[in-house]
Amino acid sequence: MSGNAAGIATGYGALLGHKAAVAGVLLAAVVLLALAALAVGSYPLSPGDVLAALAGRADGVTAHIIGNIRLPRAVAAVVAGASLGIAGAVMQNVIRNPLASPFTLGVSQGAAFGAALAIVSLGGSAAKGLATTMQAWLTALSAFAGALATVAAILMLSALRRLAPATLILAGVAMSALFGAATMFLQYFSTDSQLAATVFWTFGDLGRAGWRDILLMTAALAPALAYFLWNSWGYNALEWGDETAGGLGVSVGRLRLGSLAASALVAAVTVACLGVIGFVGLVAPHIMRFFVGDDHRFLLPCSALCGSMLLLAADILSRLLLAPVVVPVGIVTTFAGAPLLLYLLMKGRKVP
Amino acid sequence: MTLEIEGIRFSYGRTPVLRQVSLRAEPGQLVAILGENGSGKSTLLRAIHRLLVPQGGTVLVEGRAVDRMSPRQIARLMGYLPQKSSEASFSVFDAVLLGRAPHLQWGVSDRDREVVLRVLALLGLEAQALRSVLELSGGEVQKVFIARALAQEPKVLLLDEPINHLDVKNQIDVMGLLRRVTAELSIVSLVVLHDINNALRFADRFLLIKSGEIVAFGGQEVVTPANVRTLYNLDVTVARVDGIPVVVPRGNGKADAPPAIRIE
Repeated sequence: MSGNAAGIATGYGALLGHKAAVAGVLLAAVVLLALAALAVGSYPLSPGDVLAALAGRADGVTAHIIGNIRLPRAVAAVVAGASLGIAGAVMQNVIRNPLASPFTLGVSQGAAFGAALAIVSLGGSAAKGLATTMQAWLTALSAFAGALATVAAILMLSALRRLAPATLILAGVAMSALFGAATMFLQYFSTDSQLAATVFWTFGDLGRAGWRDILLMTAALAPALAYFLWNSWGYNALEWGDETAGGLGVSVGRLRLGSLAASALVAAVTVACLGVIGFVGLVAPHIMRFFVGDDHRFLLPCSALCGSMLLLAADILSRLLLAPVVVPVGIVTTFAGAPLLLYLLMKGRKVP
Repeated sequence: MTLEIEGIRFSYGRTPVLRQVSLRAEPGQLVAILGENGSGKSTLLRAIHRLLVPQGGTVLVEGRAVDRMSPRQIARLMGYLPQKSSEASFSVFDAVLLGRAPHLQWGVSDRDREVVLRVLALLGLEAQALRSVLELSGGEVQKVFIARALAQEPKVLLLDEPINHLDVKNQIDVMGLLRRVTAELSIVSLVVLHDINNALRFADRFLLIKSGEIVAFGGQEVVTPANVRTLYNLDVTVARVDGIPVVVPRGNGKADAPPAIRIE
């Protein structure tokens, strides 16, 4: 190997090292933010208290606050953030559109409609504490069905009419509008308590998550994550267009269908458990592209970590901003996400 | 390492695009595919790679039929460079490394990296290796795409209008490069070209197609004024400059144009 080649090999190693370091920093940030999320709140705890509680050596009140309130909340933020972040990254890739995300494709609105339908037709209220377990489950199930129906409709449109991938985003916008209108229609004819419950569903709240929800979200995320990471090279090929990917031996149609289904499933479960959390899925991949480029071997895990980080940070903010009032995290992510996205879109990206 | 194509047929619905196309090319040969827009040139390349599944005919690479192969297996034998490609945020090294995708499971081996380094050296892209593809000029990007196809270690290279958006100097550079790697690596290159003169300058064989049918296939001698008129409905003269045939359209380009302003 010539000196030139050796120099390139070394330089390339450094390039990969840099991207791996980005992932490492993200991981550390997630751990630190998770600990901070456990410590802050209307009953402040010191880092020592938090660590003691995690080790099972805390007194009754602290143990209760950490174990039953803050820990599920923080874990839900990590899992849901990772789900939305990676689902967004995969959707943006396979739909070939930087605006794709569970939120912009109408998956979230479909879920919100499903939840509203269940709340109104069950006649009860699914708001926290008011609902029976049965109602809560039916509502979550209905939300899930709404999300899947949206995705199925979009996928069928693309298969039947052979819509160009970029057109799918427009189909998603149409579906969002349709479900939004349907939700408003239901709200118009619902009682006050039902209205409160349906509105509540349209902005996601981490406080809703119990360990059962977390288990469900993790069960959906784990296999999807493995599928996504395994197909990293396929996504890298798709970045150059369908034709190039086909020439590199990627079964483009199959990868696109499988990836859309898996990412929609992950997003649907998240919305069904927590409600609509906008912008995390859209913004996380854009932030990470800025640091690691389009190489999905790095972009996918980094987008997942970035999603967790954003949701944890939003959760901390949501509890500090108007303390002791806790603002639903979905409102915070949208407030912070929109200007962040604008900023990122205006800056170019040229990451080697 | 021959490429044999036997009776390839393809139609979109009822519209036939390729009718019984057959050809045979030997290792080291650069075959130019000439024809007007919509004559089936691009479809032919895609049918050979089975990105479009032809309704009939066979493609043999070194005597092995590709019909039964998986897309990955085909990609190990044939590299394909489409007419249009998106640009993405990758280093040149990573963009070329992607050509190893059909060979690797997930991890990148030392051999994969060696192939990339060799291809980068072959195409003179070493200085750009660690730069972002987004920072390169059009000619350099096209070289990166050719490098990626070569990293597939193909026996056959299928290139759809590789020099279309390049300036004259880059057109000649890229074609010269293709000429050289085709001979050095002893592969078959099928190149769709619009520029007949670049074809005459760099190609060994010429496939002339019209409406999905072969008009002529052979050496420089098939590029005759009669055949060019059949292909493009254009009157030309074939001259010779530096011993290379040059196709020049008849007329001075002004005589038969209507006057801009008619004065009565």
